[in-house]
Amino acid sequence: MIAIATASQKGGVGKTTLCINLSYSLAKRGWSTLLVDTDPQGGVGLSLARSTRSKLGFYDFLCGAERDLNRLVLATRLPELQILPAGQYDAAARRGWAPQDVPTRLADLLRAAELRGVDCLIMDTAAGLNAMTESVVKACDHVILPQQAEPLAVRSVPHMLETLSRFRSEGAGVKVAGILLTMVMGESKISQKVVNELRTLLPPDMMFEQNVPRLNSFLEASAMGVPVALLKRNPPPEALIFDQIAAEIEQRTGLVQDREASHSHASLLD
Amino acid sequence: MQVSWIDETDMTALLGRLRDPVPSTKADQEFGDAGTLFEEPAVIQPAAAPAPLPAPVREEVMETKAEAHPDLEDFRSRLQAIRERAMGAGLLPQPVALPPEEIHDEEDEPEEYHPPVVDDTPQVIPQSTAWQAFEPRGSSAMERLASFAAWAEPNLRESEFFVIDDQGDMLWGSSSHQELVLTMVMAWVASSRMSAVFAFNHAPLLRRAMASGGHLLAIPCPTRLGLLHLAVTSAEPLSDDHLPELRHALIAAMEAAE
Repeated sequence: MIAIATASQKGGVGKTTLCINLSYSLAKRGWSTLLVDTDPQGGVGLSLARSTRSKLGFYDFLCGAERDLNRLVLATRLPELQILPAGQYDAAARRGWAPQDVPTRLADLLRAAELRGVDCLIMDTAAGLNAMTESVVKACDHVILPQQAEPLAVRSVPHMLETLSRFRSEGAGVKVAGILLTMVMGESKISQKVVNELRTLLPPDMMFEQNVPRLNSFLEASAMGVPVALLKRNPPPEALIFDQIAAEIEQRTGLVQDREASHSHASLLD
Repeated sequence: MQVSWIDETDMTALLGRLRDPVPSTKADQEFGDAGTLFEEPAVIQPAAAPAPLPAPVREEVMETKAEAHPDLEDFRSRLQAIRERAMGAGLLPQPVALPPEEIHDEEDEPEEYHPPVVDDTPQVIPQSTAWQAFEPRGSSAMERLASFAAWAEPNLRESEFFVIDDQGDMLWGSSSHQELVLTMVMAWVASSRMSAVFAFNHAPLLRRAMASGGHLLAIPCPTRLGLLHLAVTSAEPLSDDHLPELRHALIAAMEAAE
């Protein structure tokens, strides 16, 4: 199993949209995927269904109110995709948890997910690097850094890399899967300039090849509570963006090598 | 004009640091080479004369937190997942699955215990005061384990202790160093098994200075329920004075029946 977190200093860069659509694409590609919402705002749940607000989830597991992950995970219409909503953050906060226990509980969560047969665990985080997000990122194998393609947002890139460098110096093995440029505006010269500058400054292995453009369809999908691929009967072209990112993730994290190592290919008629 | 205000030199340096391997700790190096961490004791000849005890294992003080290393965490998680799967499949017994009571009709007096491992730590907590004799109470093994814990707790004062079975499952207690200690004890058990040291009924103690600054003492206790380990963590290393009592008490707790 591979655990991937998203992290960004700035809010509103499309982390939750990325997590939902990326998880859906990974699941469609055959990976058993668990999307975990660690953002107390519960953006994942709010994006997908009204009822998730009342469900138990990540924070209930964290504070020990429910220790069985299997009771918290929500199934979706795609069998390979499961969701662990944020849960009842306020109730969990009242109950309290010891900060020093968080890494252990996160390790328990990852272990329980692996026991469920999860191949890929995607963790959506709150904006900024608070203590919880820091623990989540440290617990994961890889981190994706969504960066809004606008000057102010990308100026925080060195700060973010500095922070991740500190994590590594503290012994965390989390690797940067790449910086993903989001909300790219094709018609904006400034936005394009930001894209070009970052791609010039950073080596290709640090940048996802695929950008995420700013499109109305993402808003529409969010309003309807579905991944963009489910917006229409025939998935719109922009759904392929996340398929492409999923394919890049497979390569960058070694996910595909894991399966190739354990599964031999099958012929079409097998 | 640059709009991102990112300095290329700074960025290159940052990327270099991100690509550096995660700094390995001395403890990790030791864990990474279990063969050198737990040196196999010299072959013990089962002679009539007092058997030569295993060569003392000189443990080095771990200077950094072993828990922090991602590989170790990964190994632990994977090992735990494998064990849980095996337990789910019925290949391994469930934890705390102690067998029901059986009357133990033999009155084997445990032989005098001679801790074979010499500790290299300089200061030792004196334990000169006499301890009350332990009397196991309770009808079930878990109740007697609880009575053992109630007896041991005041005697061990500030120390933390717990009891694990031969599979590493916690039977009693908790510790702030639980993960580290469990890993160490499991590695030690594996090493001891490989060297067949238990075949000679002189299971060696394990003493280690821990990265957190505390000291670990693990006492193997062969019981009719299998080999149990009493692990004690303390700020200062415990003296050998009361180790036989601790060991005999735990064995008595497991052997007793009402």
